[in-house]
Amino acid sequence: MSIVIRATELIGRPIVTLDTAEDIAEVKDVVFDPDESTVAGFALRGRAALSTPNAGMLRIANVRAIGRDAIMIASANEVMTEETAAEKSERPARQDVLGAGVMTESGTSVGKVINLILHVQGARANVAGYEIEAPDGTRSLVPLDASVSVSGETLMVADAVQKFVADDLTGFGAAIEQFRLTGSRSGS
Amino acid sequence: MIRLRGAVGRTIIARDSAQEIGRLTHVVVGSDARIHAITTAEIADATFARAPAAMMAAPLMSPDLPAQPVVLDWADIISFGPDAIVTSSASTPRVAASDAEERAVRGGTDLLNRSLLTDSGDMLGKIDDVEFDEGTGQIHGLAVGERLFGPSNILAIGPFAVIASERT
Repeated sequence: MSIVIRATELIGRPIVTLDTAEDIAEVKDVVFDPDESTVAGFALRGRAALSTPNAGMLRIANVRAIGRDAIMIASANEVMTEETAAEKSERPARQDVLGAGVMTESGTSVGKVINLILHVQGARANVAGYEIEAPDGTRSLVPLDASVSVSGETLMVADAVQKFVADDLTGFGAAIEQFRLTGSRSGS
Repeated sequence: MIRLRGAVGRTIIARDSAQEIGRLTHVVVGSDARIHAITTAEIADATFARAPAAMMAAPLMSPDLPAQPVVLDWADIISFGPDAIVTSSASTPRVAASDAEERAVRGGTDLLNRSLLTDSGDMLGKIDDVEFDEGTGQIHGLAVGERLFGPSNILAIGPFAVIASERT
């Protein structure tokens, strides 16, 4: 079963061990691999209100399942401290696109990125699109396929994307499929 | 096979004196999905302890009686009957031997009303009842709504939830 969610919905989700049924940490931040457009892992924090703000890193390869209520791992051994991750050069690559401006190929600014939309299936989460906020405050969803390029400051999208925005996650899946069927970034 | 929800509050009787020594309050479940012990709120007043069990029904429910929760190991249960749980004597129950048991005595590891989480990370609901073998303490099923999860589906029992596989 697969679901489409906003990346920020994963913040605070508990990390639960399959061997002892304990919630050992929760998601502090979602780390992305910009080259693969996937979730590369999670930065963790403690569960209690006054607990440690840094409880390690969890690579996506060590995740057994991403569920609606918990992220499942085999055991607490799957979590790396930040120091260990740095020593092993295994810190997931990341690119912060939140807050980046959104510009069409024809040079029109359409807003800024306020969230990433993820397609979650099993233990993997792929970036399916972006949620953008226009200058007038309205929000819409843009399929990943509509993006031309991305930097830390700007997300460039195809002009044709303006025809395929959806204002709710339910309709977003259909919008992605429709854009893929029409295909051309130069528009139909 | 019996259900736990109907057994909570069942009388615990000592066989050597026919005295009621407590009522079942919680169960202590191991990682092997078996009940290892039960807990009871022991009646600490010795006067009441010597009275016939039949005359103790009303005083036992009095909120003024002091009570020290204690543990009765499954191995010390002679029989788990439909009306009473029988053990050898009033001295058989013991105090909690560890922090983990202390939590269990206070209901910290109870299965009833505990959340059931699938190995896919989805909460299915609260455990409404537990079906177990009254002879061995082995749990045979967890009831969540209309569904009953068998022992082969139970993956882990822990402080956060009971984890079960939905695969049949």
